[in-house]
Amino acid sequence: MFKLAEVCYEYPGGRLALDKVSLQVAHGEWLAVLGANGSGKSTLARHLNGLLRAKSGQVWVGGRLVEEYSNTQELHRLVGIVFQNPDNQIVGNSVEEDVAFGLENLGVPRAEMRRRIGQALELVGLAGREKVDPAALSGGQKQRLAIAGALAMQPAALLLDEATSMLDPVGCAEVLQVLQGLHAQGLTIVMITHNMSEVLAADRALVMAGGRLRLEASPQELFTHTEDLARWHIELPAVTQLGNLLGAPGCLSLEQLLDCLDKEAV
Amino acid sequence: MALRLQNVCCRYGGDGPVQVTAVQDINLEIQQGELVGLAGHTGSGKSTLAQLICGLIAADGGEIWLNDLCLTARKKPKAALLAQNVGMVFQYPEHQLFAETVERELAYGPENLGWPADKIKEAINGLAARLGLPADLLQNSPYQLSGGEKRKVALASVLIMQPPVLVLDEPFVGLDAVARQDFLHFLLNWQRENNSTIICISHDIDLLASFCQRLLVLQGGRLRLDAPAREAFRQAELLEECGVRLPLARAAVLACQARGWHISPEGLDALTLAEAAAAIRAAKTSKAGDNLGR
Amino acid sequence: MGAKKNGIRFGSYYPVDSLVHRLDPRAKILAMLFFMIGIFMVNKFWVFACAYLFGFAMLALARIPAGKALRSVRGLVVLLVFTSAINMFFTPGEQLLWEYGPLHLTMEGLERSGLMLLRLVALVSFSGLLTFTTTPIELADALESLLKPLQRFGAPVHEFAMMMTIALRFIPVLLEEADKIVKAQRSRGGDFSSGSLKRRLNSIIAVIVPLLYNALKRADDLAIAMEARAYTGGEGRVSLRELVWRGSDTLALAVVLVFVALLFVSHWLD
Repeated sequence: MFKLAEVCYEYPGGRLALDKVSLQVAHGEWLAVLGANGSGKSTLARHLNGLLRAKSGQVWVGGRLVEEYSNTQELHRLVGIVFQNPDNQIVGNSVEEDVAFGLENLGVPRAEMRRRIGQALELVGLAGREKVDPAALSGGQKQRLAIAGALAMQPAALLLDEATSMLDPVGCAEVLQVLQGLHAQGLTIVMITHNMSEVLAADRALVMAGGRLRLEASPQELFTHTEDLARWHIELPAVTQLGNLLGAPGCLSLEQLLDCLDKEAV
Repeated sequence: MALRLQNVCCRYGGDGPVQVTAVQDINLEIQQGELVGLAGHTGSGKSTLAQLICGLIAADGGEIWLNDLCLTARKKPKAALLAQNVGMVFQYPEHQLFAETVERELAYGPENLGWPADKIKEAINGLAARLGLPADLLQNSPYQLSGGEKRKVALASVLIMQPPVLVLDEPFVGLDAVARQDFLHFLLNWQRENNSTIICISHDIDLLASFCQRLLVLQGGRLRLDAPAREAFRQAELLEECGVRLPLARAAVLACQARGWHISPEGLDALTLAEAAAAIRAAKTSKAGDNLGR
Repeated sequence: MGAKKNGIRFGSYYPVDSLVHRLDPRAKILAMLFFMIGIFMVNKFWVFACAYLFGFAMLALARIPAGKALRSVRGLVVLLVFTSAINMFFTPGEQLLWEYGPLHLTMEGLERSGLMLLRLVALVSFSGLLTFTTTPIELADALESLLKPLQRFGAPVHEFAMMMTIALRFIPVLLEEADKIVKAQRSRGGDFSSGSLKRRLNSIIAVIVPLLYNALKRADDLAIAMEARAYTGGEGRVSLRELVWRGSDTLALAVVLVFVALLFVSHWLD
């Protein structure tokens, strides 16, 4: 779905945000990207749907170089993105109008628009809420609405840029559940996150620091790299921390930890 | 007693037809120097209760006393008097940083209280050093600071007035592990030295368990649980009903016990990972002893 | 989480279902425009009686309590009293009733100020027929549609309508934010109602700066989010909301036009 080769990006002012990043994401894959603030992970995400263009290196989306897309609208349609602040990405004055926004821009006929709005709201569990004012939604519902807005454009991939970092645990769980459903239907997902249960739901995890890819591992393996993660300011899940205190590194659930300890005791 | 609430209730909706009760029948006494965690679902009334305590919204019934100051009296206390008695730090520092320099930012509160200039200067320098903010940073714009530093400046801009009661609304959200530890460390040191009363709202129950002495749990605007932290976490069913999970430390020792490990009674009350690890390690040695004995 | 003590509703939309509510907003805007012009042509008390009768009938049709419509006059009392007084005391005339220095009360003055008062009250209370029955979004859509011809001359009609839509969406968000900021600064002793002028000014700055900063940040975020959803301006855009002009709209507009024509005729009657 995505391929990056030696991509560099520099902010105005000369600070290097991406430093020779090379990366491949397969169709239907779920990739989690971790990193401290300012590590370049948001910049990376914005290269995947044409919001930013690389200073050097190449970016392929859906098998084509981004420069080959004659209009960026097509690129934006192909790769949806959900941002951090739920309030700053909802344009419509009702749920259905917001989902419609992208479709309106693409000039989709009204009957088709209605059909797709219904479908998208169904996928995120907001069916029946078409006329509701977005201001009356909870944080989790707002982010699900933002996901629906991207889905209505029938993208091949969805980017989430810290989409759950402003939500309470209930909201995070709602969003994660929706994503798991979408992943099961074959949607490619690239998710920038600090939330450990989201990392564990992914197929693969990357760690970024100082604009570079530092570590690439399965979510299961990732948290055994205790020292590396500490160096890049990535926090271990509480269970893993407890496991480390008890000499059982790399545990991702209480069950796993207890099994480990039981084995040792026998 | 630092804080006393009696039958406090507060409704939303003004004159409109839809009146939502945000909190009701809150009875609460908090002593000077207590570290109190406030937990509950979004919409359970946590923020409303916090703002009532800080005199930022008016109660519709009941009495609220901050030491000798009555917040529910007919004549509302002036902002400056309020700020001397209680301080509130909101989640987003962007909601309060406004001055050209960090120094001006920190001076805003004391100026409102009418402190003399040299006293303000002294307080700023003292606080900046304690916070680990380099002296040259004082002349920077607060908007140029990193996320963690902004939080600290926002906190300091309230602490500088030395309010005996401090209320924090989700102070740790969005901070990475290092910045969070740093922030908490400073907060707890401050609390110890000044014997401040701290009321902290957070969704991070592990974090609350690690430093709060007392836990309040709200649900549907009512105070469902008010107990010393160790006792509070023994009430697993009630907590679950209120949508508050157990801290991992306690969940871990309970799970060990369920598998037949002999966890000591003190061990079962573990609140921090270190306590849990110690309890489990002790159980492991006794279990190993059992196995040998057989 | 937002601790709004009072729910704030923007605009004056009165949410009931009625014939008038269901009309095309363009028909309502045009009808209102003509009715207002008609009101300006009225120069006789008995014609005003007819115009008020017509207006109240329309309000009844829209299921809006007449009291609610008249109440919107309250905000303009000062203006009304002032204009009537000027008309009453400064109109020259032959039938002098009372005089004091430059002030003189004449029969003509009384008549003129009475007509002026009726005219202003009618304008204000019957404008509710549009604003009570049409949501702000419908109004924006209707204006965009009516002003579309101006686009040929380079007027940013679509941009204007989009601005209205976004403003409506962000008003509650910004109000809530302002509430938070005021509370945060109050917690630091900020006070707008007491203290020296300098301190009060400083307290206002302490609210305005974060409010502006956050609003600009939001605008920035929103612009990127809109671009990411393929927004490129008005060209080739299809709106989900569709304005449909029905027979009932033509009929309603025709009825108003006939009535307005009668008002015009009455102007030149003796």
